[in-house]
Amino acid sequence: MNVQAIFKLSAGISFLFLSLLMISGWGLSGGYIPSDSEAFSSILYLRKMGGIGQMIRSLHFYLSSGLIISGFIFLITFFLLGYVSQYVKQWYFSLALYFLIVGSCFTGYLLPMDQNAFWGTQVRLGIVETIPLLGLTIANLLRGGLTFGSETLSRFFTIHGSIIPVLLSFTSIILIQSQWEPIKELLSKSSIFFGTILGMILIYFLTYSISAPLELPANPIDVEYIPRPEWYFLWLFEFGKYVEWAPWIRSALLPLAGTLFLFGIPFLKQNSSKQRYMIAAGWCSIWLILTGITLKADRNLPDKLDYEAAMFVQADENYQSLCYDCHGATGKGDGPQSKTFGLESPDFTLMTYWKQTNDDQIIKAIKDGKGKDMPDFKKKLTQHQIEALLNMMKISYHPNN
Amino acid sequence: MNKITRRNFLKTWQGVVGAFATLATIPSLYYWWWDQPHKPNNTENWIDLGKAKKIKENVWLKRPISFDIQDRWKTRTIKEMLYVFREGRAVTILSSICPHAGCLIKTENNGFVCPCHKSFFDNKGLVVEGPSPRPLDSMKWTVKKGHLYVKYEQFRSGIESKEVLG
Repeated sequence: MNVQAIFKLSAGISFLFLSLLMISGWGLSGGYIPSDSEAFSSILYLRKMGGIGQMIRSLHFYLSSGLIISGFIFLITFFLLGYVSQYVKQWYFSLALYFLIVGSCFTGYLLPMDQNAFWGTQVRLGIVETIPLLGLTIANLLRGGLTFGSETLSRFFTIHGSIIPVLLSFTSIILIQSQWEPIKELLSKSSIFFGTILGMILIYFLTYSISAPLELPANPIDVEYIPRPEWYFLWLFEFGKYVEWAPWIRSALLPLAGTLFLFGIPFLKQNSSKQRYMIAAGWCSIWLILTGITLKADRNLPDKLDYEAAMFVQADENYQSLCYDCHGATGKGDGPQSKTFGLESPDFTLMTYWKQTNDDQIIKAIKDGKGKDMPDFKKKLTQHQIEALLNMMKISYHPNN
Repeated sequence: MNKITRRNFLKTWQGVVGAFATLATIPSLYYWWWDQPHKPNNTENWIDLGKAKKIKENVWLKRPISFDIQDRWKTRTIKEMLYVFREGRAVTILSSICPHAGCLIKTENNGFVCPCHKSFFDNKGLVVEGPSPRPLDSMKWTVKKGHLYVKYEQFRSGIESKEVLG
């Protein structure tokens, strides 16, 4: 496959991804509430309901990574083919599109309000603050104040769901409308229609079978959580380690120099095809090396647990600290307190226990207490935690498991 | 008189839309700037950390605190984590927010570490290694009627001086 074909294909795929992202975004925003008390719950509800809602979220999640890749391939083949000096306007609009897409990823990251989203955004805003002169102003505008507050999520949602899509639409319409041979050629082919339909079916199928991750809800005092950036920002994270003595190099100088270089390419002296390949290869290897170093350094980090898995671990910990004394390590009701004081505590490993009680009764017993020996835990555990505890009991102690 | 060609018409139209968009953006952007509580999530009150004598001595303890603040139209409960160390009558209270980029630090090997960018601090909160521009931020404290009280403040991250936000 030659570069020309890759260029056209990546253009087509990028437009397909972009339109699917916008449309799936409409779907998602119909069931999402951008408030710090409800954002996570609305995403969790969508996840628990599964089916089409979960599919749309997965689609939105994975296609954003896909668009970062396909857009990058489009830009780099654009450059390699030597089109930049020929189609200056198209180059500028393509760059603008890519920057908007990155901006969209930056703001969309916060919306689920899980641990990853909250901490990732906190760190990024910290980096924005290190931009000389303007940094604090920009960070405060985005955050709506000096610290994370009521309007932070609304502002990120507005930028992600309204400002950027409008600008993206304008930019891509101008790009498609501009009399540009390669794109015109692409749009006139009938194979593109069938390719698109086939691609969409494939994407739907894939996103139906894999679901987008969601971690525990954001906890601003969880000192054990280790935030890590998205894979496409890892190189910047690694680069930051080398310029720790001057954080503005990463937050301001590098992005500024990169942007100026990209927008300045049309004015640079005409370079040969060989030189272009050298520049592109150089950049890609720097990217790969920096990303590789971080991945290698981080391979010992604990795995990020999805919501259900993390709730299970938490339920286990809660059981050990709150229930163990009476109910015992194996759920037989033979904990040290029960033995010493002869308390009434049921044996969770018996089938008769599970036949006599249903889920609602167990949840009520944990919440409000039962009899004279079982205390109430409604102040110590949330509804979600109690449900997770019940789920853990079933998996660990139910005789059928 | 100029003839209205398609090109002319489109140019004028672009200009009108452009001017309109700019004029409409200014108040919106200004509103975002204006609608900021220009103060951080701090409280004016001293927060009670319990009986001073009951705090275990010579060990760093995690103490979660929470307080209510008025954020625009609603009251929000803010939760923060503090590290407390007591040695007789002397108390040290450190913020868990890393002075570098604002991640939370945790205790490790008789000191502290920030997991985000690997800043290491000794058990007094001084920087041993890593990108942190200043030691961990200590809080003002006082003991009244046997209770330890802390004045919670947040400081700007990423700079060498300890500057209170706001």
